[in-house]
Amino acid sequence: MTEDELTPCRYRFALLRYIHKIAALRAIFPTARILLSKCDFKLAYRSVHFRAELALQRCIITKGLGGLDLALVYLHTTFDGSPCPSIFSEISKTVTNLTNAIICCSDYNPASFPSHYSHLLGLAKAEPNNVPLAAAYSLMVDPEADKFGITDVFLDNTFSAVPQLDGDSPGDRSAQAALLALDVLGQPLLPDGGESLLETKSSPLTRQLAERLVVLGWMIDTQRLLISLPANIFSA
Amino acid sequence: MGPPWRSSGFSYPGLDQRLQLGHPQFSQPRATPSLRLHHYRYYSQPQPPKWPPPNPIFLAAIKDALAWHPPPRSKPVLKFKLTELAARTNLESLESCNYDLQAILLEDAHSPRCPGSKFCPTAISAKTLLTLLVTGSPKTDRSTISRSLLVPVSC
Repeated sequence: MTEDELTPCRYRFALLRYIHKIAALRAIFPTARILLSKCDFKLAYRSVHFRAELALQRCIITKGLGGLDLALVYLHTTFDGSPCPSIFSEISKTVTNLTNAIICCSDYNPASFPSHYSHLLGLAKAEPNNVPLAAAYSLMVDPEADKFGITDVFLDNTFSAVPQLDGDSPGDRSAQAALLALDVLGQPLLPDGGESLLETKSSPLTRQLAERLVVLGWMIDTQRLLISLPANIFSA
Repeated sequence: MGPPWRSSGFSYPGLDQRLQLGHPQFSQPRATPSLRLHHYRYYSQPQPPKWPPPNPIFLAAIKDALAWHPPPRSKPVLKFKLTELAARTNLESLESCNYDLQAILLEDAHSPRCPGSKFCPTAISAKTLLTLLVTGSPKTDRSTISRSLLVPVSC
């Protein structure tokens, strides 16, 4: 495995792209609320397995268990493996691509295509009406935003921004499409919750549609078009 | 002779002036004229993009994928505890297969340790992705889809 063959992962660009897309949505729909949502992959890197040959190359030989020689073999890609973010990104980007394709499919109706995760989606939370929606400056690039909203990804975090238009269910379609894409490419949610791609143990609040949401460690407020560092992350 | 996008009527406040002054940042415009043209159309006359008509094949592929149910799980042959008993059991399993770890993993097809155990079968996901590749919307990143068809669930 050579580094040149891997797709680059750049955190800064994912966040910048997302912010630009939100600004573009506000520029196109100045009176619409923009609802954000996100979902995480469960044990992201552990979804990918090493081939036996590679696993054996990476094994650690140590002493343990009362002096016995012990070979520790990692069958999954590990958190500290340098190629792992890129490898997993190919999977998460595919899920995001599928999500965007589902959202843009005008025949898609969440009620007709319920995913096994549908019930995990929290209710939309809008901010009070007393704060006017901030206006967006025009952009020099076209982030390809439209009424369907956008879904983007960085490693194991997928995040959406969707305008709440008149007569539209508030972003539900977008968030459900993200869950559907995970369902289509991954194992369906089993009763024991063991092998699904979606992180189901996290709080339902993290999958709630909201105008203020922490995405990639930053609090994004689409009502005021502000981005700030949450206090707990700042202190950490 | 002005910039190539000038004839289209596009102007950006301050940009033309800086171009004339030979501002180092703008002497070589980074964005292509077509992108600037698009910007002009996009923000001056916002219009929804023209999407291709919905393709029933794509949604049918998604329905097929949703209809798939995984077979019952089996317990992995190898033990994953840091105990002497687990180490001995694993050693016996390896000895019985002539130390061919790959053979043990592939034999363990329905266990969570089998490569791809978190994903739906490749035949189903590939069908969905190929449909997406053929019928995808303009937002579809075809290069990612093409790559992901080759990216294995084991590496």
